[in-house]
Amino acid sequence: MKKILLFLRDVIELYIPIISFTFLFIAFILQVFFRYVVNRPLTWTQDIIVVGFCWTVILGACYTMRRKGQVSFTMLYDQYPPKVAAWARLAGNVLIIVTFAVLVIPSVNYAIFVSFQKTAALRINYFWIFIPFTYFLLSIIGYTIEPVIEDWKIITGKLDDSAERKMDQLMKEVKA
Amino acid sequence: MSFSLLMTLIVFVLIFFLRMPIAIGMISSAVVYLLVKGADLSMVVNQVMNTFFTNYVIIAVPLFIFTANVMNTGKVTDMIYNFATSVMGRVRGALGHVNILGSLLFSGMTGSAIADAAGLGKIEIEAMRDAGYEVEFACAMTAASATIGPTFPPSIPLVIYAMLSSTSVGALFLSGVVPAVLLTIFLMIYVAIVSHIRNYPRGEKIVWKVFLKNTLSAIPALLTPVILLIGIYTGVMTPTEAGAIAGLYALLISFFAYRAMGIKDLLEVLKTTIKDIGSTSIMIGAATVISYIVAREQLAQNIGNWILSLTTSKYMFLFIVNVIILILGMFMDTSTIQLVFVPIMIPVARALGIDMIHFGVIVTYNMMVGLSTPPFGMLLFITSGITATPLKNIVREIWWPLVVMLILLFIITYLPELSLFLPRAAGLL
Repeated sequence: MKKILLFLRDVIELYIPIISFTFLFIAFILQVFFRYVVNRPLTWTQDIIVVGFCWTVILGACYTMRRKGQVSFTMLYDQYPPKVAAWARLAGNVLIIVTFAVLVIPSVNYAIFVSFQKTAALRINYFWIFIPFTYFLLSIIGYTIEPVIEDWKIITGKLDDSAERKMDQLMKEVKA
Repeated sequence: MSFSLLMTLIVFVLIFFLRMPIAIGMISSAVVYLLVKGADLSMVVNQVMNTFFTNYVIIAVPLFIFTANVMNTGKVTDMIYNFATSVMGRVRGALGHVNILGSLLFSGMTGSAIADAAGLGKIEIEAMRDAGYEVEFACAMTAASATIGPTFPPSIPLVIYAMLSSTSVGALFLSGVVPAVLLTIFLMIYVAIVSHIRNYPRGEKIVWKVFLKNTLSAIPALLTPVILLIGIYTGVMTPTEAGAIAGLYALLISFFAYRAMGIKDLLEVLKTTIKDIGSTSIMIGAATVISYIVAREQLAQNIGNWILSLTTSKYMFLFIVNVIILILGMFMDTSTIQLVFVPIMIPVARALGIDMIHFGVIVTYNMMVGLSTPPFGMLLFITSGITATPLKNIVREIWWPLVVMLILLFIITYLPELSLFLPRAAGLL
């Protein structure tokens, strides 16, 4: 069961963005080719491009979060002692979990609200364009829970520091 | 200041203290604003998603990210390096010059400073180290020369600026050409002086057969910017479409001309691209929510009025902007500066009658200087990381190149025609 769920997660956060990006890329090439070589502009490519872009960015952002690739300002955090760092990251992550959780229902409602519209050429329902945002919210909440647990262990003395900070420290020592 | 705005600002500042991912933190602060205001929370979804759904220009960003990743995986970087080495010949400190010339040539293909430093830079640093240059000097020159990338077209930060300021991407691309070429010349003069003082080795004598071979091998790669610029300025393709054509061309030469990529490599490139897009583009979406709050609270207008009460001189304003961006650049990522702070500056610059294209070049170039500015310049970390050189040693070598870059910043700030005459000559202004 866990394997299936992990595979599904890869499908949504990695394979769909890769396929969406590939489709939007090909659509661009066809768009230029048909407009300037065949002299018959295509209209449906626009739909593929914008829908592909939305899915690539929103679902890809979940993959980036999983790979810890989101841009953060670490200058102050790196200077904190382990317990202060744990409290700081815990507070930030709790804030994220709470604010993202309250957004879940409005995001579903919004996707339903816009579902009466369809794209011009391919008639893709707007619901499918906006609903990935709800997955994005849930995914970010999911990836934020793990560091919350880790930080709580540091605060309660079960761990001495976070794995990420230990790794950073190790890298610094190797370089020095 | 309203209570809701105050709460938003507090959360916004906490992003930096609590190490929240910046894009995620910006969305959180927008939610706090709407909650306190009692407004409809779906505004966040509306703003973020409609940025992606309706803003055609920014689709160029993932396309150029993809192109940069393909170029770095294929042998394109090797070809450019070999060509630049052949061109420099017996000059003293030839590899230092190669480092800079290579960056200019590579910048015409990717528009990403990070791609330049991590790809081409790695080859250059290794070659310089083997030839007897201090590795710190090689790292510093790689970081400094990577600044050329996003100034010369195509450029990811210039595309984002075009979206923020509603200006022409084509005009912005052309306006970056002269500053990028000038930076190349300035840095080469610096390398020539240092090479003379430190007696760095000369390059190899030009053997015409080798020169011809390297040039022929490099031609497919060197044609990239030519195809792109001709395509954009003859109206065959939009700058966004040019991003896709650049990606296709990079794939074709990597697969067929250089035979340096296979399907497995392509899959890895796509994975890396998705990770990069997921970080850069979500920042753009999140920043639009903040822009919505800034507009609703008339914050930009108030800050603008405050700045205008301090000075109505556009030269003074440009000086203040340059100092602010330089300071921010020491500590922050360029996307944060561009998407959070630049939108506040744009209306003031417009009110003072500063040309938006000129302002775009100044801001972009300045942010790129920030990538090499201690203590937290990203390029310093990258070159330190790929060579396992202590950061403090690289910092020691970066000061003079920084002075050179700042002199050019001053020149392009106060001589707008340097940036504007090319787009004007092309009829884009």
